[in-house]
Amino acid sequence: MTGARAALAALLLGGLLAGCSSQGPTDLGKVGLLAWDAVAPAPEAPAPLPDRAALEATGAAVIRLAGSAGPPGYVAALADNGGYVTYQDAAGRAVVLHGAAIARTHGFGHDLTGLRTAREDPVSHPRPLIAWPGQVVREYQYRVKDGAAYSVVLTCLFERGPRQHIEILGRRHQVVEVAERCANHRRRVENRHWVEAETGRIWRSAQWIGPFEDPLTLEIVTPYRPARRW
Amino acid sequence: MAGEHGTNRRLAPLAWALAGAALACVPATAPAEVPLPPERPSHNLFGVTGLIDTPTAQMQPDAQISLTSSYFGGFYRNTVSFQVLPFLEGAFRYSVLDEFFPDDSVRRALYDRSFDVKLRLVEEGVYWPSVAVGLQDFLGTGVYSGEYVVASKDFLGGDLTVTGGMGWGRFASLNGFNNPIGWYLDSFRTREEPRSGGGDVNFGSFFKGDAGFFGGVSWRTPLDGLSLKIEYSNDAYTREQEFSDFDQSIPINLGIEYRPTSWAEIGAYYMYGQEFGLRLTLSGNILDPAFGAEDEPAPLPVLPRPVDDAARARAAAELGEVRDLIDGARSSSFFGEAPIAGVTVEERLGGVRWARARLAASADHACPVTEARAIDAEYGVVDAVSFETPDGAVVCTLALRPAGETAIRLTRRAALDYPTGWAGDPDREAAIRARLAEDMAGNGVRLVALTLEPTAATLLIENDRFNQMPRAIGRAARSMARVLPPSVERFEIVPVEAGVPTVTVAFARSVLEDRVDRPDAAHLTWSTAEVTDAPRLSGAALEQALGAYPQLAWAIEPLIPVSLFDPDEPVRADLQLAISGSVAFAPGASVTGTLTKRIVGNLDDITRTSDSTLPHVRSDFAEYLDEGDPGLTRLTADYVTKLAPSVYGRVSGGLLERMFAGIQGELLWRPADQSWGVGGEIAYVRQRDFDTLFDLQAYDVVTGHVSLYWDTPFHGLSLQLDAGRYLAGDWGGTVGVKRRFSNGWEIGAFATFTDVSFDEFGEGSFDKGIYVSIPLNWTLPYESRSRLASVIRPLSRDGGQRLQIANRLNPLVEDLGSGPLASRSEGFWE
Repeated sequence: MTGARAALAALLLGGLLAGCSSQGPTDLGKVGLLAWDAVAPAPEAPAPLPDRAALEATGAAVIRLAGSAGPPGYVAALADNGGYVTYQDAAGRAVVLHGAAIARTHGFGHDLTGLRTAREDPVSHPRPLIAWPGQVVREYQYRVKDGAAYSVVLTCLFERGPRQHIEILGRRHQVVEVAERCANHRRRVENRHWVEAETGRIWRSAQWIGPFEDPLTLEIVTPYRPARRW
Repeated sequence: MAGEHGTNRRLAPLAWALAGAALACVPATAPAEVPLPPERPSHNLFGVTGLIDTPTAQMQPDAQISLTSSYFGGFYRNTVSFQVLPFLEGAFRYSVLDEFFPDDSVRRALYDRSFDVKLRLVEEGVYWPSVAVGLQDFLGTGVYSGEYVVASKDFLGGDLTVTGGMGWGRFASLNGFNNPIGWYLDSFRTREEPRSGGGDVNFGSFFKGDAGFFGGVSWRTPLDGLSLKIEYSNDAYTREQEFSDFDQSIPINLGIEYRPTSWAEIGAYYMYGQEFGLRLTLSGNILDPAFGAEDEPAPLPVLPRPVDDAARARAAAELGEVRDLIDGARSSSFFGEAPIAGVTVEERLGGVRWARARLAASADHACPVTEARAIDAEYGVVDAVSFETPDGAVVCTLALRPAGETAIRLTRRAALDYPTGWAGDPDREAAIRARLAEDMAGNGVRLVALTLEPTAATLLIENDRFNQMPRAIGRAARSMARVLPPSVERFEIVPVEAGVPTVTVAFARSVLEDRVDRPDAAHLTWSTAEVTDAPRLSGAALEQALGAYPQLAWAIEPLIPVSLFDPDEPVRADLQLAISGSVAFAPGASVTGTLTKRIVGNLDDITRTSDSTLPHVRSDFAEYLDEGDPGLTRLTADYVTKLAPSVYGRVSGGLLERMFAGIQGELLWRPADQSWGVGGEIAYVRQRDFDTLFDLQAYDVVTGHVSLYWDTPFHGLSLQLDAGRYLAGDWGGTVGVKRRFSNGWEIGAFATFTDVSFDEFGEGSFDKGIYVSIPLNWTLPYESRSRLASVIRPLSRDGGQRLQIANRLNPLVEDLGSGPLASRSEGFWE
């Protein structure tokens, strides 16, 4: 009994020292929870495979999003601001696509805060594969947490691969795989795009999103169809 | 005509957006990526950038902060150094010199506190070295005092650094020679000994007495992280050798250093042919957060307003068919051949060159794309061209440049005419308010009040989550753009701090819609923000705000007060539990209390008794620590309000702090668009009993100050000047300077000079200290407004002491002026 009391007292004291408040855990309490998550992370359940027919019936534009860690997830288009389409999931991850280019990320840790592309960039401005330029220049924008903004400007060269078929959630697409080799004086990265040659639509791509994050792979499950603009 | 006028009026506020938008469209001219910075130089045994026992002219990267512990020959040195500015390094050192005093003295070791500064005069160039001037131990007992001028030059791509310098004081105590300055100024031939009390600036000694040379070489070997050093040091260690075993043989030091990571460095040294030494330096940079990532979930996206057919028709009448010709192509036809009857070029929307071309009667009224380029070539830079039929109907409009595209977008926006019938309906407004509050909760900000007009809305918010206020404002703006009726074009967002509206940040909704998610979005959006002083809380806003009261808040958390620099025990600490609670009755009106209870620790072991001849306003701190457990460290009733848009007021009464109780009033005038402000405070207080409960001692005093606050435009430096009467009844002033970083770090120093003489003040001569405030989210991967703040004083004496008040007004608003907000606005859309 004495031992149980001591344990209870120790537990109570530990809880108090971790800190709590009317707003929930204090900062120290949050640190404790984070540490606990790091030591014993909750297993991430893979997202259930959506039903294509049901998805198409809703009319929602959905992409499948996969990084190197964790199971892939499905995110839906929630807003279109002048061609910048926000796809977001309930877990607080979001990507903004400009064309097929990832123009912004939210909730990934080190987020991409902006992407400047040229008008001839076929990833952000779709065009038939035959009209793709040999190279483009892109500016990826970031900022240090609560600090200064900085940019990574990369020159990217396209290299076409063979035609092939890919399947995305039960639908086959005939595409051309295009490797995009980007570099500047400090880094080299590679993006890959699976492009429908005639329209330039990119059905699948693996894109670099920043120096501190793994590349993201996107697959267009149900394409976004913009509402009538001006 | 009326319609035209209306259009222009709607366009006027959007012109601001255009300038920013035009900037956004400028092709990227920035370098591909900032090159990797050169490896930072290493520290010496004194904890400043240097060789082994001598300094170099090198500097650490801006905002680098380092902790160095070193030992050799019975001398421990612990130094915190900070790169205050890119060309100014400062250091505070706590040293233990064993066997410094004779065997028969009360204690044999000297516990010494000292400050250094080093100023770079010349930055290294291709053909010349960097040159710096430094003062070592310029504000302490003077045990280590010395001055120097030093030059350093890198070779082999920075792997080899050669340093040479001339020094005075400690730097010339061996093999010194006649001071060259003394050839011209007799007073520089001899050097005064430091004043025995210490703590004052040793002006009388600077650059005086004999001079000596020092220097050395540092080589970064091809082995990753490994460096070798050799130096010639002129420090004779005269006093240290007098009573200890340390015996200097040669003035040469050798060292080997290893840097396994960017933040840690160890060094081993063979010193003066006699002793071995060790050094460990831990280093980080304020501009490089310990946790760069964050786990903040994505904000909810901005939802653009719908465009109805009527608006499309209005825009079409003004613009015709719209096309984008921004492709860099050149004109392939001559203007003279174009079927155009006439062209007029107007400047619209803040400088956009917009051509109106009247087609010839013979033209087929198809949109003449090639002619647009020909007009551009003929008339110089043209951003957009509208083609009209001879009877004035617009056929099409072509954007030739990004500025033209933006102007077209703004023209279309001006054609929007949303219904305003919802305005004035209390039920609909209440529903909007409820939806907005819910949406904002999802975006991490609390709604205090919302007042609506047909085309404008004012939203008062409380930010308990985001370290940087512009981010909270951005979250609120997102919610407004998602929820408010489409006719609301002007968003006014008012952050409320301590129940008081601070500033109004206004945006055009169209700008938010046009900028979100685009490149440079934060910068270009914030460049259109209008920041003005918020009015006092009144009317409907006050009524809504009052609905949320009373508010109860409480917290139980650990506290670790630390006592430093006591010669009996240089570091003491307690682990305490702090229980705090507050009840807010109305905006700005609250009662707050904090009770602390020691769990474990040794702060009550301090036996130091005050020898001060002044009223013991601080020097009895040991009594408070010993008897004040548990202690009621605060129990106050506070009222904070706005007396005018840029005038804040506060009254606090009760147990103001651990040692004093009473009543205090404060006023602050700090306009939002001004980099400076003026404040004043006055208090009548009585000293509290040592038990830190409700009893009071006999000592009372009226204390008060006027203060000037100025955010200089120089590297984020803020200056504070206070003048008035201090707790011991002494009159004088305090000079404080701190560097405020956009990420929330603050680091600074202060010194107080009063009519208390240096001798009367006692050890340390005058009150001074270092101030550090660290935002918690710098160290953690989530958002928080909490801070770790500390004032480090070498000594606690009674002269120049002020009340330690938790809710002074200037800290409440100093980050909310237009300048500080702009410097923190990069996170607006995050």
